Amino acid sequence: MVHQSMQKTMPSKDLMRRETTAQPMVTVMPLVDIFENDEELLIVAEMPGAKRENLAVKFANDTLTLTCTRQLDKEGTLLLGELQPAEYNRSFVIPRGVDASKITAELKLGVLNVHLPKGESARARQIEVKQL
Amino acid sequence: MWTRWYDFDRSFSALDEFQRRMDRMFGEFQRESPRFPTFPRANLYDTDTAYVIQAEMPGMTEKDVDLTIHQDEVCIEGERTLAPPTGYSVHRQERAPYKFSRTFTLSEPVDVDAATASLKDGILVVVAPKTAQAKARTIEIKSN
Repeated sequence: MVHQSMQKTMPSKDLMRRETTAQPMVTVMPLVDIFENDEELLIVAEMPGAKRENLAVKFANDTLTLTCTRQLDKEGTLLLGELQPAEYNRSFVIPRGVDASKITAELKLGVLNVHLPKGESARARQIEVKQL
Repeated sequence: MWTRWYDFDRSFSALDEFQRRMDRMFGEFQRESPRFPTFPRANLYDTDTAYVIQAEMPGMTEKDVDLTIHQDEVCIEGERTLAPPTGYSVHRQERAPYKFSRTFTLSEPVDVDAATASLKDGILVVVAPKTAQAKARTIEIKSN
């Protein structure tokens, strides 16, 4: 049920800005895993180099947005460059029924876990059948 | 870009432009084939006194990585296993498990005993100081 309503959206305004700045900062869509159980939705996002102070998790208008700026220490002459300073950005449309006030997030080893607990109405319930 | 779309003569140039933008968007961060991505992606720096490697290893601890340094070779090996949390159903899975081995060949020998490494916030940093004879020296020029 949740699968179809979750969409990724690319932030077009960041792409525009990237083209006009001299010092490139690439916008990266972090890879995510999305899990669900009876209690919650769990989003696991890969953000290597992310630090807590640069990370923002926002929930507004049924949309969860994860943003983070990843800086890299510059160390002399670059011989091989596969990493750049990056701006992680990804949004998800969250289905109704998530209790927005109880969303929690933790960052560990460059991986962000966002827990979205379901509200009372969205939880699976066993309905008792009466014998008449 | 999209205003050109309605101009028939220019529609192919709009397609070209679109393709270029898409290529640039994906190419900048991920140059390699998406089916066989390089893991871990890394930067290699030469400071005058040492080589520095930064490698992306999200979700990995020092136990998952083996680091071997020979005279002029740094080898990073390891395995990242991913287990979905128990009791959860899976909606989307973009992260992948990896078993990897990557070797960086340096152009000058390094001091193996003095090399250090740290893994923090999913980034591995290896610092391998150059041996005394490999270090760049400024040679004083004498005048008669």
